[in-house]
Amino acid sequence: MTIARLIKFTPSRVQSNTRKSLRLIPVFLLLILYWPSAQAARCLHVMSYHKGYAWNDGIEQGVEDTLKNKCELKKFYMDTKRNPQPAYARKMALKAKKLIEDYKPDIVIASDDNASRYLVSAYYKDADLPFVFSGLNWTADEYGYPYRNVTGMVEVAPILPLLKIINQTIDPAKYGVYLSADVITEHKDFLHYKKEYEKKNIRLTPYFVRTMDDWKQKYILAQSADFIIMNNNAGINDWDTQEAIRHVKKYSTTFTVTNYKWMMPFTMFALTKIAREQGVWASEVALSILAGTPPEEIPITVNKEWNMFVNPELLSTAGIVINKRTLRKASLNWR
Amino acid sequence: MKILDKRILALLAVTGAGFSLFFSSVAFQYELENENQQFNHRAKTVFKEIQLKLDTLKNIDDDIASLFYALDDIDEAEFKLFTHSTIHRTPFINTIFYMPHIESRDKETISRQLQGRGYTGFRFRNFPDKQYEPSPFSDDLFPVKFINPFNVQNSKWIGLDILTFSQGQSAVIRAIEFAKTLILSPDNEKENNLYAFRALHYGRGMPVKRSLNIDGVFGILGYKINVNRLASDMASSSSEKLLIFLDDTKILGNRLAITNSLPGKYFEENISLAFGDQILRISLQKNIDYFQLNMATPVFVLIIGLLLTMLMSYIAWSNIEHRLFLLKQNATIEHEVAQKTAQLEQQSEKLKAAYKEQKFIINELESFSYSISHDLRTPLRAIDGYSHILLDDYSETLDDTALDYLHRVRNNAQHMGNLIDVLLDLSRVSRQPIKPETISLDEHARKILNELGEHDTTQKNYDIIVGEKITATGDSHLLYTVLENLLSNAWKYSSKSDNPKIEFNMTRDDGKTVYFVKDNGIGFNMDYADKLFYPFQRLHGADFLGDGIGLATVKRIIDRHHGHIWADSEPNKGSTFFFTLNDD
Repeated sequence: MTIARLIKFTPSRVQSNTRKSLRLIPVFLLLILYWPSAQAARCLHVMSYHKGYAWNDGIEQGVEDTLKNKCELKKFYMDTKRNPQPAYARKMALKAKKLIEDYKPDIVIASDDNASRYLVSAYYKDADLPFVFSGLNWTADEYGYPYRNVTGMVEVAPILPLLKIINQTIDPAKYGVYLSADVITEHKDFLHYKKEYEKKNIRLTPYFVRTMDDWKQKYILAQSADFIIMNNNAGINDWDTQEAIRHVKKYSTTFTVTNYKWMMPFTMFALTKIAREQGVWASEVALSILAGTPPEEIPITVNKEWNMFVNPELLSTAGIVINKRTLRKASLNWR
Repeated sequence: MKILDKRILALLAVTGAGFSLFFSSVAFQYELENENQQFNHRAKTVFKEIQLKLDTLKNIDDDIASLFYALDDIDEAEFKLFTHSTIHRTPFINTIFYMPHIESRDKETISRQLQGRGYTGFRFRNFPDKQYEPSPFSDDLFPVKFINPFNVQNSKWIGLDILTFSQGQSAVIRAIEFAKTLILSPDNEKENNLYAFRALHYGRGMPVKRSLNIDGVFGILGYKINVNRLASDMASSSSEKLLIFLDDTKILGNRLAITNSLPGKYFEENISLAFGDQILRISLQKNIDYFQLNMATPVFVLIIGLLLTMLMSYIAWSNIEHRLFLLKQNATIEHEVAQKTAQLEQQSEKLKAAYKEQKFIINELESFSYSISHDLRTPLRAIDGYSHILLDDYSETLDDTALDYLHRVRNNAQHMGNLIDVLLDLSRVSRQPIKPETISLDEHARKILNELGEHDTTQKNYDIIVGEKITATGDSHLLYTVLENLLSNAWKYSSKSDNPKIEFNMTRDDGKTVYFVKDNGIGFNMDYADKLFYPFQRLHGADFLGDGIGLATVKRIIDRHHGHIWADSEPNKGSTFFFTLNDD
């Protein structure tokens, strides 16, 4: 067989090959256009709670805004606020794990405690897949963080800043009451408050309640204190907002403070955590990890931003005057 | 074009182009110098700004230090609040950080506290490998506690002992030693970064002796400075660069360049700024971007120069071409002239030959005329003579008819003799050389008219008018002959008028002098005017005597004087004969 026969390089064949090659150009162009998006990182946001829960929504918005156009983002809601049973949480964690296996994200953001408890620490300790947590209450010790592949932001209440405001407004502030729903989170919070306040020689008494009536009674009792910390009412199942408003207007004589914005209709002053800060920080850490920084090089940190709110009507009812400097920084936009 | 001309043209073009380039480069140098001047001005502005900013840094440092002196225990929120506006309003300050003094024995306690506050996994640690320098103090550390802005990158600094930071250790130690002084330190890893440290000593306001007593220090303030932002628009400029050279043999004991020079060619201006006991040698460099220079003038000069060169070359080329053309034309003309000269010579030869022939002919005619006159006269004389003899000697024997015949023979012989004389005279007129002189024609006319009057037999009173001072240039004898013929004709043909009138005068016509002889005689029919000046053509031959040669003679003389003669007449109304002389 001659070389000529082997090659068969006739002009018509060359033309045919050329035409075939030219047809590939659009394909290459598409690939070039598609390639960047094909190469975009995949991010998964696993949230402990549900859409519509204010705290969750805040974190979710922070993540969305920060990762926009930088990452292909998928979301998963564990919905454990409305379904607090551990069995449910474990089931949802398994679903999240399946999603991770199918979607194969480059990084996972896990918001709030249950995502860390049931998903990250359960299945991904020191795994190859990096995780960034956010909104863990007070401490990450419980989950053994940091791992080699895990870092994030712990959510702490502004205990000391709030105490400063209390001390500015009430002098002396020696005795306070902690009024909230009778749930584990609040018990935990109270302990932190107590520890810090005792350092300042302030006695803090807890009133944990489960019903509206109980809450109303304890509110009246608490008026004898120098100040009242009005914390989370989530857990009081028969909560009646309008009734609570009427009640506080009628009986408020003592300075009331809170860490939760939704408690503002019933409270005089709030210093609140900003959920969005958690989402933004977690996303920025995620981007840093995607850029090549090992998670272990990024230390766990705590939230640093607070919003300040004031309820002038209640302050006026109680005849309490807040420091003008503080008042200037506070917002009325809690409605 | 000749080679020499081409060379001259080429030389001109090259010289012109050379000068154009030269002047263009001069203009370019001027623009460059202009740019340099502008750069110098900018450099002064930049240096002034840097000085202000360094002063601002000192003021900011004093303010933040005051915060720490004023408050017992500053928390993170307060630190952030106080430094927030500084970070936003002074972009050259990248980061502000605070390192409290912690003794080794307190490390565990503080770690636990921080972890309890959520900083899970917090630990005090040294700077990583590349940035690590062993601390000179084994029992004390200054870990980063607060940092603003707090972001993911900066969060890595939390807990790091600044005394193990290779970029800043010396400066921190000097800051401790010198107290209340901001000490600068270059970042050897990152160009354009500069650190500054200041130690916070206990006992604000109290003098602090210079010492390395670390116990007196409760904290360190640190600043990270972006050198490029020391000048407002440096960050956005890609062609300019600020070089900082920390000349610090006194404090840190070294000389360090904080930034590196620009590549390529650049303008440069330098200044030394004192920062406490440290010297910052600052250099502003700017790349010379030839494409951004105002090239309008050099390009304009070059274009004009080249255009002028082209113009001059064109003019030179045109001149050369013209010269060559003229040379060529000259050659052509010379050739033509030579040709024409040859032709003229030829014609001249021909003319000479013709003249010779003419002269020969004239001589022949002369001889012929003489021969004719002489040879013809002899037989005529014989005819006349013998006729006369016959009449004298034999008249008695001849009858009347024979006598009549003899008379006729004799008359005709005499007439022929006259004709021969007249023809000889006419031919003599043609041959006689002209002796031009200024003559008075009116004098000639008066003389002729007087003679005519003396010989007149009619007894009539002629009215004679002769103009005054009628002069002409010509042959006196020949012109006398002209006037003699014209005036005698006028006398003759007006003799039958009742009041004969003759006028000789002159007039001016179209710049020429026109002489005229006018009479009021018999006149003639103008139809026959063209025959007047031919020999023997007589319009009134039967009525008036004459040989018919007078006007032919007049014409011939006038012709020889390069003039014209013409007549104007009307039967019975008289005639006027006009003539001009020397018309050419």
